Amino acid sequence: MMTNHVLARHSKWRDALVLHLRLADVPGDRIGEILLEVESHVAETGETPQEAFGDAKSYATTRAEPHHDDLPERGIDIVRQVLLPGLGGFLLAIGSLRLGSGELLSGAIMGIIGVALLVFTFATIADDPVRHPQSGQPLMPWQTPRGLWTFMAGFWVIAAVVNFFLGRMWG
Amino acid sequence: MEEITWPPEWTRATLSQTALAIIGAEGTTYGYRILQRLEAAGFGKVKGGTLYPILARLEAEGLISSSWGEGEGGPGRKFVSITDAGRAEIARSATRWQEFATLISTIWSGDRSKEDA
Repeated sequence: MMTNHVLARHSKWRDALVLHLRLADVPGDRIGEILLEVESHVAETGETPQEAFGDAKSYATTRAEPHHDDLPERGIDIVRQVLLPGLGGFLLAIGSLRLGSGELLSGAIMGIIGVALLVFTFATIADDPVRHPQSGQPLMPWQTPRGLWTFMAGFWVIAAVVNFFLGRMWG
Repeated sequence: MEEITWPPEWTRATLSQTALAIIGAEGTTYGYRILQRLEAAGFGKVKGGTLYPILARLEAEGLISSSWGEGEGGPGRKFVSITDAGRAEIARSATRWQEFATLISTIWSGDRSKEDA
């Protein structure tokens, strides 16, 4: 049995809760349990999630693992999940611009390093989907760290293509 | 019936042990049922957003265990059960609470006869 139908009527609250639980490094399996607790409670009481659990961000804070702010693990996560792919996307965009304007060697090197950093991030980031605690089925297949990075990488690739043609126009 | 309201700092301080005691009395129960029991017993209304994090903490401390089962025509229901460690904690807390309540009552009554000289 998989539902999430009750919370589908409160998708804004649910999505905010999942987002803030993700930001607090709560594992996907645990998020699934928290979601089903909320859904079960809302179905039985007739209350809205806002009435029963308050603001989604505040509730996520009360359910976060107490060690989620620990350093240096948090710092390593930020470097691995934010800075490295950010640098990769930047290099890919600048490299494409240079390739388009005829600077083949520097453009190719920057582009290759950029793609490598993006691929490295995708390969090393845990997929960790939000799972239903009973069936084990993913509840929100695209709302995973990998899904998010796929979406962002798409932006970087589009930016690279646009930059390549801009480079050709200006070069 | 007039709604009972206790000072929030009292209910905050005692909710965890009170919820544990209800789980201990029922053996196995679930979140909404605990909230109903709290209100029926005169503890007052408690929100789900307050109770469920407490249940998660009690489980992390090994005082209760949990399992998912079927709800009544709705989504799954999370059942919680008391553990041996939970029963021991209820007994320990009940004794300590009696001592504390007696102490507070004595102080509040203005009786200074039990103070050390």
